[in-house]
Amino acid sequence: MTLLQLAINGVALGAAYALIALGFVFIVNATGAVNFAHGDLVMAGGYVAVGLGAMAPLPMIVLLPVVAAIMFVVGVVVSLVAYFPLINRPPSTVFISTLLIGIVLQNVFLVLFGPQAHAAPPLIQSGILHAGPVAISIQALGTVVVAGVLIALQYLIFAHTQIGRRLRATAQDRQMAQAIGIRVHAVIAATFGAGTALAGVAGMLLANQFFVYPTGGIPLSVYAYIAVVVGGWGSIAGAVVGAMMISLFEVVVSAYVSYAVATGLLYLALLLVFFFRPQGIFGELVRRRV
Amino acid sequence: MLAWLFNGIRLPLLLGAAALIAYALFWAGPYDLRVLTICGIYALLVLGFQFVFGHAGAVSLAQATFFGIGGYITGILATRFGFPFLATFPLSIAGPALLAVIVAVPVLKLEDHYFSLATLGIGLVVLLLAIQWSDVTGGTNGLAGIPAIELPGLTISDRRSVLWFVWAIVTIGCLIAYQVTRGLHGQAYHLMRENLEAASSLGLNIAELRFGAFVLSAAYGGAAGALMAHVIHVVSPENLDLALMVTCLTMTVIGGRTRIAGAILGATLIVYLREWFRVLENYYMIAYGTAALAVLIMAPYGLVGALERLRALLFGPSQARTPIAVSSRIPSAQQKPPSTAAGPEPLLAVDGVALAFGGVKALDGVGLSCRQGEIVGLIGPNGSGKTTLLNVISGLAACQHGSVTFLGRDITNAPAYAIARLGISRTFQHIHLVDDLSALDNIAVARAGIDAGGLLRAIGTIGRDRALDAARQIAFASAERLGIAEVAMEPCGRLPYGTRRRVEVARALATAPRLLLLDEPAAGLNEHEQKDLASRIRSFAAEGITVLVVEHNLVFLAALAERLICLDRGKVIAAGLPEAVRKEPAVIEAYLGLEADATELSLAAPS
Amino acid sequence: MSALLTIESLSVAYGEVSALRDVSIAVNAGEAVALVGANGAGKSTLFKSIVGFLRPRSGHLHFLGKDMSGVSPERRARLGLGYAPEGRRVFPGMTVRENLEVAVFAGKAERAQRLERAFALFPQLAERHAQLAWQLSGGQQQMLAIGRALMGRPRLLLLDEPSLGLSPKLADEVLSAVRLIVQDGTAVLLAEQNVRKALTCCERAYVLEIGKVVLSGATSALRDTEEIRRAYLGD
Repeated sequence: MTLLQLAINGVALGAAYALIALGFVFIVNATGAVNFAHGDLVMAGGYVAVGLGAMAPLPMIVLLPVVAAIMFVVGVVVSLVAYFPLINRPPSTVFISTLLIGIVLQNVFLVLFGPQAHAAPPLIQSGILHAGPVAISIQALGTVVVAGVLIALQYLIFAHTQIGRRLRATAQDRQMAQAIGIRVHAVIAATFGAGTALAGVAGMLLANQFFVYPTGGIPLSVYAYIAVVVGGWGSIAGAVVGAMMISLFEVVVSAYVSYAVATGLLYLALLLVFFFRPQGIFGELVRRRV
Repeated sequence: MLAWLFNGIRLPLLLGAAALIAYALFWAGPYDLRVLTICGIYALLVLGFQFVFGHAGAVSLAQATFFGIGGYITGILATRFGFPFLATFPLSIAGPALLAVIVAVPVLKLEDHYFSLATLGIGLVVLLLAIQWSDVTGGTNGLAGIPAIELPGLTISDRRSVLWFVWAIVTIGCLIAYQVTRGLHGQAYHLMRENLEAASSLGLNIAELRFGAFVLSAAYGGAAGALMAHVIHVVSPENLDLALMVTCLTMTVIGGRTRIAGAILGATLIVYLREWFRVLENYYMIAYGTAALAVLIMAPYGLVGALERLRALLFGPSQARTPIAVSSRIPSAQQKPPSTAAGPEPLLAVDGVALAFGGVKALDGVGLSCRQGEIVGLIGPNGSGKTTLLNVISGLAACQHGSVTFLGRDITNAPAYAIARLGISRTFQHIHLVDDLSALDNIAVARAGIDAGGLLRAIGTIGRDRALDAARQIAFASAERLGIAEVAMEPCGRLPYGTRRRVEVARALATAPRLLLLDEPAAGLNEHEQKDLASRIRSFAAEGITVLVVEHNLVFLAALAERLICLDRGKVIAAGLPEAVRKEPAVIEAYLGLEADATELSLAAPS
Repeated sequence: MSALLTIESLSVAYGEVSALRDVSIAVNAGEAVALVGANGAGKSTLFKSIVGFLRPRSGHLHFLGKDMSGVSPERRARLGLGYAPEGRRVFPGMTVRENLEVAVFAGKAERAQRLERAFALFPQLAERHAQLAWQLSGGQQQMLAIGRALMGRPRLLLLDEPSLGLSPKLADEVLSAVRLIVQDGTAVLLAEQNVRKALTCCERAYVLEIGKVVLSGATSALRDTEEIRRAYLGD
C-alpha cells in the first residue's frame, strides 16, 4: 500500500479515535476523573448500533441520533453510579470505580451478545470510492465527516455559548460555579452524558469495519488515555491531535511490522515522549513548580 | 498489654485472624486451603502495592507486571534450567526490583496521570513480550509444570504446608512493611502525601522516597508472583494483564491503602467474593464487579477505616497513637546553630535574579544580602515578587538568570531538599500540616530528611525507632520555643489557626536552620499573637539564626525588622533602615498609596 | 427597612471543633455591614454557611424572608446572593470577559448591559477583558471576583476578606467600590480583619471572636471604643 493510502486509512481511523478521545477529555475536564470504562462505552455504542440495526434496517446515519441519545442516558447513569457517590474521595477512587464498571459492562455484553464479534450496519452504505491512486470506503469517509462535524460543533459550543462557558467554569472550580448559580451536578451529569454519547457514536462508526466484541474496549480506553496525555492533559485540541497521531502511527507502522510489534512500538514511543516532554506535546507547564 | 489489645480494632482483627487460622487447621478441605493460600499471595501483592500507591501516593499500574515477571522468572528458571527455589525466589524478587530501578528514573519524575500511564505502558510492553516471545515464555499458553517449593531437605508440596509457608512469607512482608512505615521514614511519606512543596522544603528528597517505595513494591510483587507460580504450577500472560492490576487496585482500595491489616483483609475479601459468586456462572463477574463497587462506595477509607469508624462510633475514640515519654527538661542546645560572630561575608547573597512566566516578569534583576543574625523584612505591593523570591531562594522555583549564594556556596536552582539540608528552611502563606498527625509528629517530620537515613535503614530497624525518638525530642524542644508544648500531642486538625501557624514555624525551626524564610507569618493572627510571634522571632535571631520575613503587616514588622527591602514589579526599589525606607517616595507611591491614612504609615504599635 | 438576611442562633462545627456558636446577625437592604474579627474568629465559616457550602448544626438562616435550610448554593445564588470568596477564586482558564459572562442567567442584551456596568465599576478589568484570569495580579483578580459576583444582580453581596494579600493602596481601591455597590442597589456584608478599613465603608458592624458575636452596632459608635479594641486584640 502506498503511504498516501495508509495515511488516508489512518485519518479515517483517527477520526473515530478523535471522537473517543474527545469524549474522554470532556469527562476528565469536568470531573478530574479518568474514566477507564470509556472504551467499554465505545463498545456499548457499537452494540446498541448492532441491536438497532437488527430491529430497524435503516442506514446508521438515520439511527445516529438515537444511538447518541441512548448513550447519553447511559453516560448519565454511569455518572450516578460510579462518580457522584464518590465525589468527595481522592480521584484514584473514581478511577477504580470506572474500572469496575468496565468489568461489569464487559460481562453484560458477554451475557447478552456472546463472545463472538458482531458488526453493525454501515453508516450510509458499503462500498469503496476511488479517487485516482487511492481508495477510501464510504464508511471511512462518512466517519471523517461525522467526526469533523461533531468536533466543530463541540468547539463552537465550548468557546461561544453560555452552556460551554458553564461547562468550563464547573470544570475549573466547581464550588465557585455553584456560588454563581450553575447547577453543577446537572452539568457534570450532562458532561458524562455528552462524553459517553461521543464514545457511543464512535463505537457505532467503528463497528461496521472493525466489529464489536466484549473485551474490545480495553485497548480503546488505553488509546484514549494515551491520546489525552500525549496531547496535553485536559487540552481538547491536544486530545484530537493525539488521537490522530496514534491512529496514523498504528496504521502506518503495522503495514510494515506485525500488529503486536506496532502496538509495542506505540507504547515505547509514548514512554519516549514522557522522557523528553513530560507535560505532553501541547501541555503547558502552567505555574508548576519543582 | 490489655490496653494495647483494646485500642482501635486490634481485638476484632486478631479474633478474625485466629478464626481463620482455626478454620485452616481443623475444617478446611484441600480446595479451601488452596483458596486461603491464594489470599496470602494476593495479600503480599497488595502489601507491596501499598508502598507506592498508599504511602507514596502514586498510582502505579505496573504492580501486576512485577507480579507476572516474578512468576515468569521462577517458571523459566525452574522448568528450563532446573534451578531450585532458593535460587529462583531471590531472583524473582531481584528481577522486578531491577526493572523498577531502571524505569524509575524517568518515570518517577512524571506527574500523576503521566506516571500512571507510563507504568501502564511498561506493563503493556511486558505483556506483549510475554505473548510474543513464545520460545522463552511459552506464548499465550505460558509455562506449565512448575515444581513445588523445594528447600534443602524439605519439599513443601501438600496444601497445608504450602499454606503455612506462604503465610510465613506474608508475615515477614508485614513486618518489613511495619518497620518501614511507622518510623521516622514512614512519617515522611505522610507529609509527602499532604504537600510536596512543604516536604521538599524540609529536606525530604521526594524522588528518593518515591524511588524506594516503587522498588519495594516491585520486590513484593515479584515475591508474590513467584509464590503463585509454585502454588498453581503454571505461569501465563494472565499473571501480568490489566485484569490482575484491576484486582490488585480493588483489593487495596477496599482493604485500606496504608494499613497492613487492610492488605490482608482486602485480598481475603475479594478472593472470597469471587468464590461465592462463582455459583452464578455467567453472571458471576457482573455480581462481583457490582459488589466490589458497592463496597468502594460505602467504605471510603477501606474496610479497615470503616471498622475503625464503627468502633469509634460505638465505643468512643481510641487512644492517640503516640505514647512517648518526653522529658520537659530537654536542653535547647540542639536548636542553636554555631554562633559565629557576624563576619563581613553575607550569609545569603542574591544577585541579579530574574524569572518570567506567562509573559510576566515576576523577578527582574533582584539583588539582596543578609548577614548572620539579621532580621530582614521584605515588603512590597501585591504581585511584586516577594513570595516568588522566597521560592527561588528555597529552591521551589527556578530562576532564569542570576545567582543565589548561601554560606559561600552557589545554590542557584539547586533542588529544594538539598537547599533545606544546607540550612535554609521556610514557612508558607497557606499552612501545610498533616491534620491526622499530632503537632509533635508534624514538627518531628522535619528531621526525616536529615536523620532518617533512608529506606534500607528503616527496614533494618528492629524495635523502637531511635531516629523517631530523637526527632520527637528535638520537635518537643522546638514546640517549647514557640510556646505550644502543651498542645503538642493534639492532632493538628483540631488546633486553632494561630496555633497551627506556630506549629509550622516550629517545624521550620526543627531543622536547625541558619536561615529562616517566613512568608506572611502574621497573616490571620490577632495583635496579641503577633506581638508574641515577633518576640519569639527576635529570640531566634539573637541565637544567630538569620530571618527573612515577607510581610504586608508593617505594624508587625516594626517590632521586628532591622532592615527593610521593598520590591515592586520584580525589582528592588528601596533598601535600608525601616525609617528611611518608609519615607522613600517610590515606596510610598507603589505600596502605601498616595492617599494613605497617616496612621497606616506609622510603624508604632497602636496604643 | 426590609431585612435581606436574618441569621438566628446559628451554630456550625467542623467535626468536633465548634466554629460558630449561637450567632445572630441581620443585613438590611441599602446598607453595608462589616463582620470583623481575627482569622479563626469564624468569618469565613459564617459566609460558607450563608452561601450553603456548610450545613449548620442548629439555628436559622433566612434570605429574602425564605428559610434556606436544605437550599442548594446554586439556588441561593439565583435568588440573589452574590459571593466573592476569600482567595478570589476566579476561573483561571477563562478570560476576564468570560468570567463575567458566565455568571449571568439572562438574555444576550441584558448580559451585554451588565458587562458594561462591571467595566464601569472596575476600569482595569475593561482594559484586560481578553486576558486569562490566572494571569491577572491579585488586586485585579479581586476586582474580577467582585465583578463576577455582581453580574447576577444580587440583592446581597458577601465579600470575604477582599484586602487579604493586597497592598493597603489596592485594598482601599477595592473597598471604595463598596459604597458604589450599595448605592447601586446591592447590600454588602463585608468580612475583614482590618478593623479600620471595614469601619470606614460600613454603617454597622458585628465583631466576632472565636465563633461568637461579642459586639455589634453602628460603626460610628464602635470606632474607638475600649471594648472593640479588647475584643479584637484578645487581651
